[in-house]
Amino acid sequence: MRKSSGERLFAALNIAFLAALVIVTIYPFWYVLVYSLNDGSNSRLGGLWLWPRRFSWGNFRVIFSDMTIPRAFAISVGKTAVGSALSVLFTALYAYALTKRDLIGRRFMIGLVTFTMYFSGGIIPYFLLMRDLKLLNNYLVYIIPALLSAFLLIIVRTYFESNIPPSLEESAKLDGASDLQVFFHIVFPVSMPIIAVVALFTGVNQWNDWYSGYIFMTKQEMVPLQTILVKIINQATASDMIGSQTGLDLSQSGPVGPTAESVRAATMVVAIVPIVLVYPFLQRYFVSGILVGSIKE
Amino acid sequence: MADLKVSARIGRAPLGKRFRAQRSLFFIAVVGTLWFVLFGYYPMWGSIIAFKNFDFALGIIGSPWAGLDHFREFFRDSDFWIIMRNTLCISLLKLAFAFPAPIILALLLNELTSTGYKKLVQTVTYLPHFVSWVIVAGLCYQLLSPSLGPVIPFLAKLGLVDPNLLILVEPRYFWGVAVVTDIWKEVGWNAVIYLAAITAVDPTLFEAAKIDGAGRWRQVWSITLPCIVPTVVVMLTLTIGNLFQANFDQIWLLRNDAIVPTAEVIDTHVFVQGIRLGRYDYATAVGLFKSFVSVALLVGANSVSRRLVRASIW
Repeated sequence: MRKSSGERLFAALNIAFLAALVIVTIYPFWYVLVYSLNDGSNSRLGGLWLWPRRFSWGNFRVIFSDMTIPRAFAISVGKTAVGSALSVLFTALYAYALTKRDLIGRRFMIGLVTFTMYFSGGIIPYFLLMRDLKLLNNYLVYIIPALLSAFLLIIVRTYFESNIPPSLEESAKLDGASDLQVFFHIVFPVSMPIIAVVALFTGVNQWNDWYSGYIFMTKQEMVPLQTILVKIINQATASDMIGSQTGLDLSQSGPVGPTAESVRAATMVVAIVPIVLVYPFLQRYFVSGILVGSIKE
Repeated sequence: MADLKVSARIGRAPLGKRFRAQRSLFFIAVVGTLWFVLFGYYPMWGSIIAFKNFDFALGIIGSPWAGLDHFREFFRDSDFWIIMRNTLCISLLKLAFAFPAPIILALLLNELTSTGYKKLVQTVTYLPHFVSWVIVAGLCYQLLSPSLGPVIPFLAKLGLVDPNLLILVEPRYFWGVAVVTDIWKEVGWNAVIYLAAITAVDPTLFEAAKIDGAGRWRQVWSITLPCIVPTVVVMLTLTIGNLFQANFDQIWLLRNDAIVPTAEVIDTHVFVQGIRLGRYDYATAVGLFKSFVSVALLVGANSVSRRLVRASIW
C-alpha cells in the first residue's frame, strides 16, 4: 500500500505529538524526583532541570528522622493491605450470592445496590453517620465504609456470570459441596483476573484516599500519608510540620542542607513510589477491568 | 426474558425449601445489602435535615422543621451566582476540552503503525490516573512556582509570561489550570474505552472502504467515528450528569484563599459551610439541591441519547 505524502507527513507529526505528550506526562514526576535527590539549598539557586546537581539523601534523611512521615506511611500501608483484602473477600462473596438466580429477593437487592451509583445523600449526612457510628478518630473508618462499591460489585457479578460455567458448579454440588465450598474452592480460584482488578482498584483507592483522614480524624497521629501531604502542600512550607518536630529549622537553611520545599518533594516521592511499583500490574489488569465494567448485560 | 425461562426451569421451589438450600449465600447477601442500606440509604434519609433547623441535642427526628428556609438562603446568597458560574464554567470548559481530548488521543494512537510505540505512549499516559489529586496538586505547586519549578522560568525566557507569575494564586488562571490538569491526569486513561471501541470496529468495513478508494481521513470520518458514536454518547451522558459537580478532590486541593472568587464551586461551598463551619442543615440543603439537579440532568441526557442513538446507561 503506497502512502501519499500527506499521510506520511501526518504519520510523522502524529509520532512527534505523542512523543511530546509522553514527555509532558512523565516530566513532572521526574522533576520532583530530581528535586528530592538534590541538596535542598542548592535547588533554591534555580536552574535545576534534568539531573540532580548536588546529589544528596538529605531530604529523605529528614523525613525518616522523625516519626511523622514513617508512621503515616505505615498507616497507609496498613489500610491499603487490610482494606483491599477485606474488600476483595466481601465483594466477591456478595457478587457470587447475587449470581444465584433463585436467591430470595435478588432483584430487589440488585436494584437497591444499583441505585446508589446514581444518587447519594451527600457528604454532610455521611459525616453525621460516621459520627453516630463512633467512627471518628477510629481506624475502622478507613475500612468499613470502603468495603463495598456498587461499581465493583456489578463488574464482578458480570464476570462470574459470563466466565464460570454452570456445569463446574453443578458437578461440585453433586459431590456434596456446599455453596461456600464451591465459592472458595472453585469460583474464587478460577476468577483471579477479576479478583486482581478488585484488589488493585481498592488498593489504589485506599492508598490515594486523603479524604477520610482529612475529615474523620482529628488526631494527627492517625492520618495516612496522603492526608499529611495535603497539609504539607496547603502550608506550602513543610517546615512547620516536619522541621519543628525534628528540631531542624528548615526555613532558615544555610548554603547546604534540606529546605522545606525539598523535603516536601521527597515526601511526594515517598507517596508516589508504591504506585509506580505496582504499576505494571495495574496496567495489565485495570484495562481488562474497565472493559468488563463497560460491557452491558 | 432469560430470567423468566430460568425460573420456570427451576420451577421456583417453595420459599422455605429455597431458603434452606441457599441459607449461607442468602445470609451473605443480606449482610451486603444491609451495608448498602447503612452507608448508602441512611445518609439519604439523613438529608432531611436540609428541611430542618438541625440541633445535635434533638437529633435528626427531633429537630424542628425549617421548610425551604435553607434552600432560600442559598438561592438568595450574594455568592450564589458566583458559585453557580464557577461550577458551570469549569464543567463546561472541561466538556469542551477535556471531553474530546481522549477521543482524539484514541484516534491518534490508532493511526500508529508501530505497536511498540503505541504501547509505550499508553503505558506512560495511564500513569497519572493512578496517583491521587493530592500528588497532582503537589506537582503543580512544585512545577508552576516561579522559584521552585522550571515551567515559569522557561516560559519567561520565551517572553510569554512574567518571570514572577504566581499562576496558582491568580484567580483568572484557575479555570484554565483546572481544565489542563484534568486533561493531563485523565486523558490517557479515558482513551482506553474509546480505543476498545475502535478496535471492535469490523475490519471488513475498512477493507471495503479501501477498495472503494477511501483514504485514511475518509475512513476515520466515515467509519471509525460513526462506529464509536454510541460509546461517545454514553460517556457524554455521564459527563452531563456531572455538570454540577466539578471534581471536589481536584478543586479543593488546588484551591487556596487567594483564588476563592473563581474556585468556589458547589461542592467546596458545601464542605466549607458544613464541615468547617458546622452548618450541617444549610450545607445539606445545598448538597441536596446539587444531587437533584445532577439526577435530573442524567435522566434528561439519557432519554435524549436513547431517542437519538439508542444508547442508554441503564
